[in-house]
Amino acid sequence: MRRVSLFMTTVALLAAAALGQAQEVSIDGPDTFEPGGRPVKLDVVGVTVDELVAGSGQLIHYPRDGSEVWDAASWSGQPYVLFFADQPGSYLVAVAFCRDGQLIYAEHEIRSEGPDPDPDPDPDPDPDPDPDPPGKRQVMFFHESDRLDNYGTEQQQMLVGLAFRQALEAKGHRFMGSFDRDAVAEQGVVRCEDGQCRVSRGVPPDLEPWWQHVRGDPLPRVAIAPLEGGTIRDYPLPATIAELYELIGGAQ
Amino acid sequence: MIRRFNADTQWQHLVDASPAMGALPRQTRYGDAPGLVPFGAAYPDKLVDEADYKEVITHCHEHKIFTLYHQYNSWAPEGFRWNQNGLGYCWAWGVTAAVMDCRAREGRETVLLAPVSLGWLVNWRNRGNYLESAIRGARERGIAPAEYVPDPHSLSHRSYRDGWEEAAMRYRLGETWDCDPSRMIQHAISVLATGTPLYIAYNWWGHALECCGIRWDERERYNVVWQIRNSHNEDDLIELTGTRGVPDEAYGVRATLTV
Repeated sequence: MRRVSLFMTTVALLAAAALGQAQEVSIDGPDTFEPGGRPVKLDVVGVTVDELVAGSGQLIHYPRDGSEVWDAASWSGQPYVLFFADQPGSYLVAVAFCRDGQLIYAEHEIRSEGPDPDPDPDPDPDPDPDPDPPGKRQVMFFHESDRLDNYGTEQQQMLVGLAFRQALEAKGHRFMGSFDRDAVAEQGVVRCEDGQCRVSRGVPPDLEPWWQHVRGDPLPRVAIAPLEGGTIRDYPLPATIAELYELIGGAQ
Repeated sequence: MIRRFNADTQWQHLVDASPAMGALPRQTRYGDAPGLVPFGAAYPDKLVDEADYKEVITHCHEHKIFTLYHQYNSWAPEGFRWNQNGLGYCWAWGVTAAVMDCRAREGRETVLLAPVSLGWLVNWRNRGNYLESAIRGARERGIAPAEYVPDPHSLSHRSYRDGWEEAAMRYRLGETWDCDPSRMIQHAISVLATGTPLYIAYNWWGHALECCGIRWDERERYNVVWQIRNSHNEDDLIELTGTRGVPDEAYGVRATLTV
């Protein structure tokens, strides 16, 4: 559920631009599916296939891992979406297109029957190689901002406290930032110009090398690299500041 | 110098001193604000218990978690003046302060932003606006860096430097929390305690501002003092106390976007 909520942030502009318009188009269909079972048909109501094509229609779904969507249409030209997923969980299916220079957006959430699985249960597929030699470090944090209240007291200090950052820098390390997942994850930005809309995606270039290490891993997380540059290593955010300093040393 | 006002006894003074405000009352209901808080939880799901207010507030000052510390350390050092200069654009100055505070908390580069670049939301007129509208606008198109806006109070966007709209897209509001007016003190403390700035408004003042901290003071009503960045050319934060010091609207700006 949270993953779906996070994805929804990436389409913030879609929703914001579509205010007042979203009621005209909707995605109708079941709210649940059977993992690995038959595909689910979701009707896209209030728009024709021709309109979707002319309006640079986009079909979006999230999470993408383990799920698939196919765009389709009936003989009468009514669009629909076929949704499949092998993995249980909550998924978002959304449609965006341009109509008369306005962005139109509709979404539908669908979840597997039964409880949600634990988020990101997979172990880190890229175990870190041998540690770097001792030295000063660059330190960057990644978190989910809507869970800031749920993190431990010292984790909060690491993620948002100025006193911690000043202490870190007093030790010669460099604080590089503390970012919400959606500030760095692939963001879908829709821009409409002259009646044409396009979706651009990208990670801010300065964060790209860091994010490459962290993406897909459970948050909160800390990424550490030598001050002078070099291999970035990432770890689950420790519960205490003392453990973080051990980790920075351990990255030595 | 920080000036403190008892909003219950000095509210008329505050209103008279700065008549051009511009915050229009909320149009959406809490918990029913599509587009305003569309993503994730509307508010922190772990609220600070009333019995813990003092301890939490003390902790947040001790560890410099409240964004006023980030603010002083970045875009508003001691003596900095934040001035809407008589424009009815408090709604723009308030949300801009919150975005800059959030950027500071994220550790991003300090870039002074130009609130007046949100003027497109009111057709570049000197008009008040809703906080919901300002949030949507800052999310959709961002806020231009001050370097693109030679006159920080100019409503003529033709006087802005070329490329200001593209530049603004790199300074966008990302995600917000909403605060329930019926539990405002608890929600506000819970949001502030996560190092998140609050974009607030007072109906009695018709004014939008940014709350960047809170102090515990047992001599005051509710034992709290609201620490606020106002936009009336003060050289420091202001503090409000009393029942009228409790915001009527408050939104936590908890992430910004740069792409």
